[in-house]
Amino acid sequence: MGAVSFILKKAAVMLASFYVISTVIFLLPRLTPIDPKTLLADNPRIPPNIRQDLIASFGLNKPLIDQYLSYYTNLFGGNLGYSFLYREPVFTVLLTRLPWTILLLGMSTAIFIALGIVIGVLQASRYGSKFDVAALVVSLTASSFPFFWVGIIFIYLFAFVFPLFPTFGAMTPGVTFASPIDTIADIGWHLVLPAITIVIVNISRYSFYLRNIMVGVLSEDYIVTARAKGLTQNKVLFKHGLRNALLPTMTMMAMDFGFIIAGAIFVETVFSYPGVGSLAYQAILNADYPLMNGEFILLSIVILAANFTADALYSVLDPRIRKGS
Amino acid sequence: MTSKQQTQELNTVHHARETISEVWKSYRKSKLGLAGLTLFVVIVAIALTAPIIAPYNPWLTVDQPFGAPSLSHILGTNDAGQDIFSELLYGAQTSLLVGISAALIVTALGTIVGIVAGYFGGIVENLLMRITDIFLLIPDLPFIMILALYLGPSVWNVILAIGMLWWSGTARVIRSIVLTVKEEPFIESARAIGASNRRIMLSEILPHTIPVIVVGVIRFTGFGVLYEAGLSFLGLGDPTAKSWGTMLHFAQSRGAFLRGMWWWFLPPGFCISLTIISFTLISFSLDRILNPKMRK
Repeated sequence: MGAVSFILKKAAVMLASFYVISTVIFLLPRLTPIDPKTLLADNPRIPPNIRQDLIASFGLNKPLIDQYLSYYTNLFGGNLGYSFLYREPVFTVLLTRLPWTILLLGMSTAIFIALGIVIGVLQASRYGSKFDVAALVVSLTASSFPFFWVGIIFIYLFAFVFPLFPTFGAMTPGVTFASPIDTIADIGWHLVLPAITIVIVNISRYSFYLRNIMVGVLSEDYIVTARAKGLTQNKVLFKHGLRNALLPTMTMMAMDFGFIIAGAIFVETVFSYPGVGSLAYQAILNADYPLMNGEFILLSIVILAANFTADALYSVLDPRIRKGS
Repeated sequence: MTSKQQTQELNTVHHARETISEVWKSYRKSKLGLAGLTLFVVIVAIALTAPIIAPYNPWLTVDQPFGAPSLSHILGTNDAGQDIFSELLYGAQTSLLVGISAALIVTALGTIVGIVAGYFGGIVENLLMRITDIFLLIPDLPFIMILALYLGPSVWNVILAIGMLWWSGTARVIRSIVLTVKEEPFIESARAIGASNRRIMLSEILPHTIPVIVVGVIRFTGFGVLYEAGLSFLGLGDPTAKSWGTMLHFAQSRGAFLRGMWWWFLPPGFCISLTIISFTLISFSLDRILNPKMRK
């Protein structure tokens, strides 16, 4: 199978998944005994004219099949309904929250993957040593901690015991800073605790995985050759060894995306960080049905896209996979 | 049942006993495995004897709210004046119930799909594996949250949602085992003597997947405990059930950590961690014994 047909096949699976997921989102409000009009448009917080618009554009008074067609027309036009809680289109609410999540997850993911790789490679090169065993014990313990509990402990430590870092929100509320540098510093200051929480809980999966792969890689002939050539230990480990361990790590990252997003929902909620994760919690808490539906569509798209990108990259970089499947 | 069949059944039982005692012999040598097993026995014992060993009924107001640890309440009291130590002991029941039920549903579904897909092949396999692919890509926590929104918060909805989602990974692994077992000569001979498809799947193929099933159940129980805690923490579990996640939910919403009440929010987290560590250690040690080929 060529790279192109492999990618096309993966794209078909991705589109089929998106179709199934979006249909489930369409069906859920219609499977409950409550009228979908009540769930999607009737709320005291929604102005009457907007309620009329919603019922018309989603065809909520029409038969189910018409509702289904309007649902997809709206979905592809970016119309995900109207949030009861924020009194704004769901699409707008999601868009204003998304940058915060990208900032928090982007930074912490880069940190835990880089640290996880370095620790894992060092463990593999000192396989069975005291350092290796100690790192294994620490990572086993850290990976058993629930995300939100680590967050709670940080809030306790840094709000109550040593008030060093802010434990709430993404910026100091009500303050306008004179220079953009101060604003960036304020944002960075608020990122510290949520980011460390995400790093602590995620890092061990990568260090453990990298260690196990690298132990195998380091016994290969080309590593022995590289050593025999008199290359330094670091060059052997990070240039020759790591290169061969990176592909499987990439796949692991894509498979892991659901877990990382779940972590973001907990961490953002605990620290009241204004991203899409804590927004999902707000939607549930306030029974904001349209908002939660939109959240689910958004997070599904992110996960599908991540998996597809990893598959496509992998098939280009490693021809063996195309034969395997 | 004919006498021939009876002898066969007896042989199977005898064989199973022998295997278990052999596995135990190697398991006993693993220090980490024994540590995990000890932890597990302690947690199960606490869950089973909670009504006897708990000093108070955790649903009753027994003292002033927000009490610090004292001789009568070793972990103090919560916002409703309930004894936190008693809540903690009862919490083991909910966590284990959710973890084990979810793990059983997940593994049962995954095994059925995997065996049917692998055994029949062709269109059946294609269809089942495409469904599996789709389920693998559904974001699990948001899906459970949305189900809880429409179905209402309850322990059983959490179990149902986990069960509906996580079977896909197991189905893939089981299918790959079935694909290799299917080519073995004993399957051919079973078919030659006229065994039905159902019989071949149950008595010839299923036994070969048991090592993976056992490790899977233990591993998923750990995940289930973690997810139950997380969902209850978000307020999606049954608010009246005593669980470690619910305790942390109320500790958060009633400001336990801003009041510095570490005795309220530290113990439930430690209990969750210890439970998960115990399942990780057991599944890790068992995996090395039962599935040595799958190790790389």
